[in-house]
Amino acid sequence: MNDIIMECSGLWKNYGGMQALRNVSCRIQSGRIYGLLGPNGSGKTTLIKLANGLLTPSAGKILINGEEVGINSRKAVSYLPDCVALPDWMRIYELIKFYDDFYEDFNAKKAYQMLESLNLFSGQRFKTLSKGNKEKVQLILVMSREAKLYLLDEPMGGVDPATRDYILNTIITNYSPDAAVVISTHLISDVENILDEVLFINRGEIVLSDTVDNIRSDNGKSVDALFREVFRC
Amino acid sequence: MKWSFDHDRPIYTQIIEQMKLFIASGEYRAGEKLPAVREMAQEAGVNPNTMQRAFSELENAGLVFANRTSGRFITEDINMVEKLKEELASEAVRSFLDSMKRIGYDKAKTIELIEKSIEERGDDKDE
Amino acid sequence: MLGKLFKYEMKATGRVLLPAFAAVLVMGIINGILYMFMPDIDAPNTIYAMLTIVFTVIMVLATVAVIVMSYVLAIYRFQKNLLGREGYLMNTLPVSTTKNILAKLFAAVIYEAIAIIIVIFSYSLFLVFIASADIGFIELWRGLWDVVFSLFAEIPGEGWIYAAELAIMMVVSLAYSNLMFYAAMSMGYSSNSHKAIKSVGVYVGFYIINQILSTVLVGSIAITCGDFSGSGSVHVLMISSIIYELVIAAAYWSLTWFFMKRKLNLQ
Repeated sequence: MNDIIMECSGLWKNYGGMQALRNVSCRIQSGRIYGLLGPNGSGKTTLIKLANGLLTPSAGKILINGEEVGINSRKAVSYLPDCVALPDWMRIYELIKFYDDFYEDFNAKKAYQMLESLNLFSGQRFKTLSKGNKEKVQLILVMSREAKLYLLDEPMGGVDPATRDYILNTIITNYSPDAAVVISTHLISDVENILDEVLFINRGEIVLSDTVDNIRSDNGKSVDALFREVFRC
Repeated sequence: MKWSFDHDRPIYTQIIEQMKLFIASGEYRAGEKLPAVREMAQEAGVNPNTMQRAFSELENAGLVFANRTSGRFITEDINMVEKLKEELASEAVRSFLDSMKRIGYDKAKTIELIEKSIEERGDDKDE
Repeated sequence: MLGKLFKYEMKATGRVLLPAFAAVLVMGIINGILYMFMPDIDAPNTIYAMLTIVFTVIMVLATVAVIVMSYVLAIYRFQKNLLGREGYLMNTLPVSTTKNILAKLFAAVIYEAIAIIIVIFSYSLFLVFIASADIGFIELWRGLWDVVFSLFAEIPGEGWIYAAELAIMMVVSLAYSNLMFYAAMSMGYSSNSHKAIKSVGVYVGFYIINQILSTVLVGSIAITCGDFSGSGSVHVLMISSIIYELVIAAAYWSLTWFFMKRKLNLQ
């Protein structure tokens, strides 16, 4: 039985004159991996920020596990922003301690294991890491939580192919039937194989919501190819 | 196991096809224990649900069976494997013959070509 | 949760400020020792004299710098950790906006107060060293504090009240001035462009409003209190300024809270 981890109904968000989201409704179920796909500026990040409380809706509702977004919902949501957002004066083990301090569902052991598998030394100061390694550390911290909803905003923007494979692999390995993963990206071909369902969003509206299997069998083409058609300039 | 997927068809159908090949070719032996769904999904780079769906269908087809406690196994039924080989072989032949017809080779030329090619490859010298 | 936030904030700020504090203290001691061993004025040794002057100037600059630094750092920490990229982490933690702001405020006030205390302590150390050339060091140190205490004791019973009022005023003042920065920044950073400049603009606006309001306040006190003689009016002045700053600080707090909770605009 799949729980509905996130539900939007009639969600609107206005940003100083602009309508970033228009009448968005969607349901995110546990045990599935979703792709939130759309061109830049389509509202993907706005939707994600509404889900983790960085923004409040102008109208409509967004519920996480049946509750309004707030301190409780944040305990259940693990968020990977599209930029590196960690305090760079800390050493890696201090960052792990930080996450451990604030999140009950954080699994420090898992984090250390993942660090080791990437040959990263936990005593290293975060600011001395390369950009790619910083992003990996941030991913490790986010994925070491046993959350109900993982929101990954452009996890593969600007990373090398090996790192990209590592990220996809990590998402698959951490799959749990109790949790949902939402990956927001405009690089679809990289991620298509691991998605259950996709939501196409354009100019603030959901224009398509379906399973990858259906899209491929109905259209005889990949989601990436369909996307290019749908969003042709 | 080497997996390779086309982008324009559902992955689960492709998993089923490739599993059939692995079984027919003996890469997965009859009765062999399969790794967990998640591990196989990781290896193939696909969603665990997709892998699960493919396996449900393979179970329905009788090629794979699941033991509640010990996991998933390839069928031990050798006849089943033979039948599978026949099925795959027939399909390959049908598809080949369609191509030959399209190119315009008649039966005699086709058979000649087959014999020549087998000799050149030295395939009949193995086993 | 507040405790944890506070702990991290103290650490993050302390890594920069504690070495600076230590440096200022050491400078006070070095300066003092230099003066202590200064040769007689009758036989001036110009190089030594120049050295001591240079060191004194450095020390004065350092003390000013340390106080300024503690302020600048408080502002910098608020902006960097809550309104910049780290905001993506901090504002999605399962903690209330109130706790995030409070953690920053507590750490800021504490470090600023410590800076002031360290500076006072440094100067007194320095002075003690100078004078200890003739009198014993420890005696003098004790003597200095005796003087300070007796100053308060002299004013019958009220000395301690004054001390308490001063302490409260310092804390309230620090909280008030930090919150003024926080409010200006959270407002300025809620817009899409020119965030820093707009924050400065809002701050200037606050400053002007504050000048107007405080002039009105002092004026009305003057009118109601008549003349300014007697300890009574000093108390009235101190207490009314404490209350005034508390009220305005509350307004700044509300603005900060509102803009952080509803108008957060991380980019």
